[in-house]
Amino acid sequence: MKLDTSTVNALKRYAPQLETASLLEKILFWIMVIFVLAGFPALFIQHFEGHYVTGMRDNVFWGVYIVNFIFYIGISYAGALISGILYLLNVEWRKPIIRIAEMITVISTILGPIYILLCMGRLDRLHHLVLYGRIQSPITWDVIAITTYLVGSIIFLYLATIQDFAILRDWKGLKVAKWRHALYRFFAVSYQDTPRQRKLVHRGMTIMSIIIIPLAVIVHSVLSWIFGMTLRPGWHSTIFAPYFVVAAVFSGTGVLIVAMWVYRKLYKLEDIITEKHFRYLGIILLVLGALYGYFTFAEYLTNWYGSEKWELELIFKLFDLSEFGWMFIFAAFVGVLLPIIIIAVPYFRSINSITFASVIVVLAMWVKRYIIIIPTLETPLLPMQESRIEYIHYSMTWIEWILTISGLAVFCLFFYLYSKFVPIIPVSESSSLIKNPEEELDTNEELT
Amino acid sequence: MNITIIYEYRKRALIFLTFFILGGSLNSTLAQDDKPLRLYLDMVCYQTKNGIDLNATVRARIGENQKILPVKGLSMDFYTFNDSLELPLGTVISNEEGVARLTVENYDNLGWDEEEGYQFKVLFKGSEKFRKASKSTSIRKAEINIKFVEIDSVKMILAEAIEIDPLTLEQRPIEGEAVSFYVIGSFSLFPIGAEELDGGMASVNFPVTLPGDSLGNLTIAAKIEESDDYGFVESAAIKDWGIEREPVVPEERRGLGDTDAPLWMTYTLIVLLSAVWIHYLYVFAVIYLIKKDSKTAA
Repeated sequence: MKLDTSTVNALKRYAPQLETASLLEKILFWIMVIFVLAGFPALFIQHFEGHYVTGMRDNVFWGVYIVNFIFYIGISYAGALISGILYLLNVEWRKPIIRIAEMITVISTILGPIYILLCMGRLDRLHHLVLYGRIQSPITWDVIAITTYLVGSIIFLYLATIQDFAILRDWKGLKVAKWRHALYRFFAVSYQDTPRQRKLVHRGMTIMSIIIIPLAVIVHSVLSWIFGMTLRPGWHSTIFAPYFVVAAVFSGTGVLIVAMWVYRKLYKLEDIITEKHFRYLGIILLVLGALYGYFTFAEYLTNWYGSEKWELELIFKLFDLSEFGWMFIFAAFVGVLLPIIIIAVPYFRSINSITFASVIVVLAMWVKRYIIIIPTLETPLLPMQESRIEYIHYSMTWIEWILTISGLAVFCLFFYLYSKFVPIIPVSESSSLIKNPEEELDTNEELT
Repeated sequence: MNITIIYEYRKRALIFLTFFILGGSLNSTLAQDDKPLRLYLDMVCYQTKNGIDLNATVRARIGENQKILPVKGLSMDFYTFNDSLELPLGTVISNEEGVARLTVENYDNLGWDEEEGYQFKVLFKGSEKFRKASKSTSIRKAEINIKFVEIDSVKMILAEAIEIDPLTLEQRPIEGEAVSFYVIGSFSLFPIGAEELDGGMASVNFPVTLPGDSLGNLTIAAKIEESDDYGFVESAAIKDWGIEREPVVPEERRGLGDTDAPLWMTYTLIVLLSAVWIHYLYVFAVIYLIKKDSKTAA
């Protein structure tokens, strides 16, 4: 495969990202590894001692693991939606950010279900889900939907990277280990950039872009129905599916902006991931924030106005500062209003402030998932038989804290390792992004 | 103006904005009366075959109307005591009805007095919102045994009420207390009758028109209620004196609880999954064609 000048320029620009690691990268890498390793003792204790070491009990049978599961599946949705829509619309500014979005989709879809495994009391019966799963159970729908979605998002990421694998395979200037060259060769499937192959890749990408968007909507709707199909206060709501979908894209867009900010700093991509990208994604975040705020208001207003006994009890718990009030204020007010104001007012709008707003959004959306799950489980329809405090009120144990932080470290680590394997900016789409005319002269000798 | 100064101003404005929103959101919710309120505490004891249920109810005058309402979420400490000891039994949080319930199964270490019987205390230690409060009560150990008798087609329920001496385990018949008889329903108690104990025995006739389950079983309870000496004493037993009723099976089954899913659901799932996986297979074919095209080109 012949590489043109602009591709080689791009490769030269991105090669250090693949070949070496700066001191900062090494420090961050080892911090992530330490956090990941710290999860193993906690996992070991939980496995051998049982779920008693967590805060989960008879009434609050789902804890922070489910919160993390919904959070990660949520952010994966934004990656799929943004990359799918931007590809279909052939939006020019998508190029530097599309791979980050695709990576978010795949990595979080892999990580999310791990938390379900942590939540299961009898892992040895995991295969029963397949053997004895009932089609009418929303949990079965979820297993099927997430598996299908994971396969789809991996295909999508792979198709979008196939040209880069071929470029990395054929560029002799890349100084990486032999096994990595072998992997590039394997994943490139003999791609030679012929007109027919380009057409085939484009066709595959178009199909996957079309499929991945409704699929992501279905997956997150199905996820919401695990709760929505249950006759419990705060869950049994007709708007739960769209509410979940909007909250998912909102949080995922936040994660995308934060990831862009980190890679921009880490790999010095200031001229490629520019303020324009942050501004455009910021506006998407603003619209989603307004939509999410509207859904939140509609949901709680309807429940409060209906005055149904259990719904009211739940709402008063959410409004009570001694119970979930602070979390509610953060998730429903701070997490919505602050990002909207920061992005809406031009005076505040900068790369750092939009990233700050995104961090707030991500944290608020995690807290939102927490106050969806826990308060409802603490409000059973039948009186609790158990009167011990730890059975009435859920609180995270150190095991759950560590496994949550370890999960975050795994997420970051996967992200980092993938960016060491393939350039974070698609090389095949970098011709319009890299401007380095003085290097054009000596590229001919490097062409194969 | 220098860019650094603009940046600095922007940073300050952002910090101000964060605190402004946070503060504004909390402004109304934080305004509360800081004077601790008086609590109204009450405690009753239920004696059953499983042990003693200590029921503490906590109320306070709350809100602008100063209505006496149950207080939930208070940590109530239960104790047993006598002249020489005070032993903690456990801590329970009051529920939305202001009730904190603790079951004592083991009688061995309970504080006991020859005159008063078993002695219990409930204590709220006080908080920023509510004043300290406590309430104590005592009960003598008692038991009710239910017997069913049928003479000449007349069905009768007999209740034998006895007081038990904790030291000697000597049993004495209880006199003068009223025993109420009920059938326990799904949501409430159906009263059958009441009679005063005579020689430790009370009895009522049982109505033959009550519906039972598919075997005709009914749960029948006998209770001494609000006794000064014994508190509440309860006992229950199952008897097949009801009319046999088969469970009502709806004609149209929804299928959600069955082994097999409704057909429409199965078809929908198959169609949706097929639609997605056929496209996946097509994309796999595309990848294969890419590989094949390279060989052709070579």
